[in-house]
Amino acid sequence: MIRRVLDATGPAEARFFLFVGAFGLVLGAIYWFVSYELAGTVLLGGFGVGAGVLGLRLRLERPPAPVKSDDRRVHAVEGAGGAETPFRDDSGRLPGETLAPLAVGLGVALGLTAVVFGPWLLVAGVVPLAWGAWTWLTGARDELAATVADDVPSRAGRRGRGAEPPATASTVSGPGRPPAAPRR
Amino acid sequence: MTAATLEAGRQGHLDLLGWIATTDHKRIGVLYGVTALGFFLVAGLLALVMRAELAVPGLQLVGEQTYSGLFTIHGTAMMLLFATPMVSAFANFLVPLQVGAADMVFPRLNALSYWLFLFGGLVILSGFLVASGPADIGWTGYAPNSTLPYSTTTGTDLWVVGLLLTGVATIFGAVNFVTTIVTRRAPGMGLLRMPVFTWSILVTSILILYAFPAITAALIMLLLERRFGATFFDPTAGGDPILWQHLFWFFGHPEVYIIAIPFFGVIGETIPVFSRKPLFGYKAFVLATIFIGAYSMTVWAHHMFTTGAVNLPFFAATSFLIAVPTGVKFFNWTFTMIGGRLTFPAPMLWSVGFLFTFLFGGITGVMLASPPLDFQFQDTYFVVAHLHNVLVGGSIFSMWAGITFWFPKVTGRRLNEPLAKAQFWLWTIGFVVTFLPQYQLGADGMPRRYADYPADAGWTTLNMISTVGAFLLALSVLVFLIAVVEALRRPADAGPDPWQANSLEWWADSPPGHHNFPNLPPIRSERPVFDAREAARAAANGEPPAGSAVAPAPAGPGPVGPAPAGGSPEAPA
Amino acid sequence: MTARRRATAIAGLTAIGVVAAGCLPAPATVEARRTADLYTTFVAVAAVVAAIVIGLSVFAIVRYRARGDETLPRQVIGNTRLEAVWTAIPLITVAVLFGLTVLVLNAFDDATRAAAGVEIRVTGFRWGWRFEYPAEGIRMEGVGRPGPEAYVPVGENIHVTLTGADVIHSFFVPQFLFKRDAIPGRLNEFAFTVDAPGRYGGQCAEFCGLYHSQMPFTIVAVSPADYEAWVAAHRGGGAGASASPGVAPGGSASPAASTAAGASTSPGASTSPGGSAAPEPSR
Repeated sequence: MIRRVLDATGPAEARFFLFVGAFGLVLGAIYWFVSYELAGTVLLGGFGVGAGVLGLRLRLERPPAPVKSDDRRVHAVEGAGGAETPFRDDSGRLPGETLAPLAVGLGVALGLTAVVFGPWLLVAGVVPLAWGAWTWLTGARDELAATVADDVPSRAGRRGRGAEPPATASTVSGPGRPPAAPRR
Repeated sequence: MTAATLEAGRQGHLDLLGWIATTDHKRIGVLYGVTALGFFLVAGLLALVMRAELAVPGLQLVGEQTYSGLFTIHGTAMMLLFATPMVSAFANFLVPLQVGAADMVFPRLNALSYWLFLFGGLVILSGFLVASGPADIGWTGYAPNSTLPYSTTTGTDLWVVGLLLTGVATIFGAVNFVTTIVTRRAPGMGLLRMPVFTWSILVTSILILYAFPAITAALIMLLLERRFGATFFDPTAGGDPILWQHLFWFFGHPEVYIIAIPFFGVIGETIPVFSRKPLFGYKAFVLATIFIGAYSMTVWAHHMFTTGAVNLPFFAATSFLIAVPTGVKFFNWTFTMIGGRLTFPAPMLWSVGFLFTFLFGGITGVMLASPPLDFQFQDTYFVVAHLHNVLVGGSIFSMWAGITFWFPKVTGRRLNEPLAKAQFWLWTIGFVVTFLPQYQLGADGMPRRYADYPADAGWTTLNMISTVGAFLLALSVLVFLIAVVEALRRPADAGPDPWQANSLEWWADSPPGHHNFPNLPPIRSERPVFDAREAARAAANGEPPAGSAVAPAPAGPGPVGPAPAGGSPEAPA
Repeated sequence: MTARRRATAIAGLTAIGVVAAGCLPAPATVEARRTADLYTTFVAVAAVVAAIVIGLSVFAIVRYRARGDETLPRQVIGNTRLEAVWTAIPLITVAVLFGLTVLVLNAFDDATRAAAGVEIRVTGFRWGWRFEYPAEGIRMEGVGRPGPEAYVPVGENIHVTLTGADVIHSFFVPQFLFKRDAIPGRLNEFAFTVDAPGRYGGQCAEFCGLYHSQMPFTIVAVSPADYEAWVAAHRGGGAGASASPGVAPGGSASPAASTAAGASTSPGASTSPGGSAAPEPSR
């Protein structure tokens, strides 16, 4: 595992986050030994660990890409997930229009303002928050179910169909049709 | 009912439901931009009142309490309700387009970010409506001045609550950007083929992820202290006022770069386009962006040099070091222009203006990084001039560059050039007249956040000049609004690529369709649209194709770009 | 407008900037002279850097503007050697500036550690200052304008211990080119040696609430003999406190100042450091 982390041929994304994490940890260590000041050391350490965890997660995600990054065939054959976009994810559909985010935002804002003006605002906030969260979650669940159902044929003829645009348009031929994502 | 049928029924009039129910990154981007400009106008008006008050000694317009509210809300709104959301506006609209995606990874979360930001902003401004008035603690909210019994206004509580909401919104946005950039890049777009603006957003989002939790924690502590009797910052009960400053500036300094780095990215996009050359030293520019971001996490206590509670050499060293990658960017920009074929439409004027004005913010920043000089300049108008030099001369100059540059992409219309240029000159002159006198005021020792100053202090003339400049800036914004209204009354005829630009957003229609791209050009460099245009030009001239790319665009001097519909097939292997 | 005129206009505005940005007040202490010298060095370096960057930009704007031809310029993507140079030179520059900075900082620390000629304990409160001379037995405080006057002898190392009574204030004397925060619960120490007799106005620099702009003070530097006379006259506290409701210098009575003074404690009244007895305004 350590060898894989240090391997310089790893995905650029992982190296990027690992570098940022290492930077935070090194500066945090220097800071501690020049100042013995706790608050800043904790903050710098948190920065280093946070970025480092992201980098490790990405680094251990997949093995190093086996192909040279400038080999053009990679794009044609792989289309996605090649050496240049190793973490590519174009699954999922785009949600349609929904008022759920507005309701959740309004509910949270009203609820938090209760700290200032009194608990009646909390009651006022719970209603849109609950409605919004319910709408949001059911919408996302239906969408996921539809995606899973679609995914089976799409593995056979990889993205040959223009009917259901994946979240990136790069391989869609013909004008994209808005997805029939469930609303409400 | 599908979104398509909803859309079909709403042609031709303002689609209000479509806007508030949207999860489309482009619409959310526009919402962010328009809302942020709204807060900009409010915060600008507050600044005008302050400048009018300071024009001559004595209290003529407002009293001390009102003045405290004015500079608190002005600073808070400009930093966190205008500049930061404006970054979100650009990033929302552009990042999915620049990486060739159809939308963000989490579109609903994206919409939630916007709503939390809007409501948070309104909560902060609602301080003007409560009887005791808005927050009166400065945008830095230093404890214990921001705790009870020292700040008794209800507005201060609203300020805390509103900032909590906008802070969480910003964190959600950053999660979305990082995920989108890592997982939604089009085939062929390696990290080192991303446009520099998208790179800037990646670095910025990471800064947000580690900086904003610090302020969120600090705000919760302040709220607990104010409303529930906790004591984190009160020294008589075992707290420490310096803790607030550590937490605040651990957020506050990266925040400065959160609203600077993306705009460096904007200049990294505009100057190559109007120089007809690639960015000189793309990799060095990206590396500089990463280093600026990383170092910006380690310099926070240079705002605390005069507290006597921080290690001076450490923070002086990191603050000096951050000038090096910033200098690298300056050379990247100037050497991109050298050897180019420069044209000067409004976006390029703003970009070049940025180089000159931001230079001074950078230089005075190096001065402030030296603790002995900071002992004189801290908390004086020198710092006010420096931060406005960086934020107005740096970020807002390049924001105007970005707005004029991408306006045709967002609306399908170009801004009226004479109006846009008039705005540029008014703004540039207004900027110089407003902020440069403040350097001298600060060197003379005029402290910031003074509602009034003695008539015999010798500060009257410079203050008067500065006030005149502020009204020039306001006039410039007025010209901009006129230009926008004028443009929106014309038909959308800008075409997909009015500037002959480089990155993928110029491949899409103007404004882009619902899923952004019907197809994509092959991505073989950080300038895919440039490559496709040149390949088409070569093909039209009967030259052997330089690459295997084939694009449908005709060659010629006019606006060149992909046909709105129909395919440029993926390059055959 | 031609590119040349445009470039000239921008360069002209920038030149105004160079002139406008910052002449310091005449330094009045030994420490301030060091700071002023450091500032001069920084300004000189800044002028060179600005000249290079502005020169390059103006050159590019004037020389390389499009002249109607539509051919593509040479697509230069970079030059590693050039990039290394413009990374290394700024690095060396800031390293030198950092070294000079540390030297001046060390001088500050040496002064603070050196034997004190006069010890003063200064406390900032809402909205005024208290000066205590423990060895001389003098204690004085003042609110509003014109604020208290603290006498110090010229040429001696004045050692200050600074704190805040309620919120954070900042002790700032522009002609000393120096400020230090007065933080409740902390003691900040610094020292200065005044060069020449004179009255040096000071003020609060950290936002501390309603009358933040109305709490000046004055450091009066006098010869050692005059200082001894002042001490003799004021020994025992109370009598020398200057806390009368102020009329702002220049003749215009400031309503804020008189409000602040009116709401405050009487001259010489004790406000214990760290306590919460600081005057609160009636809002």
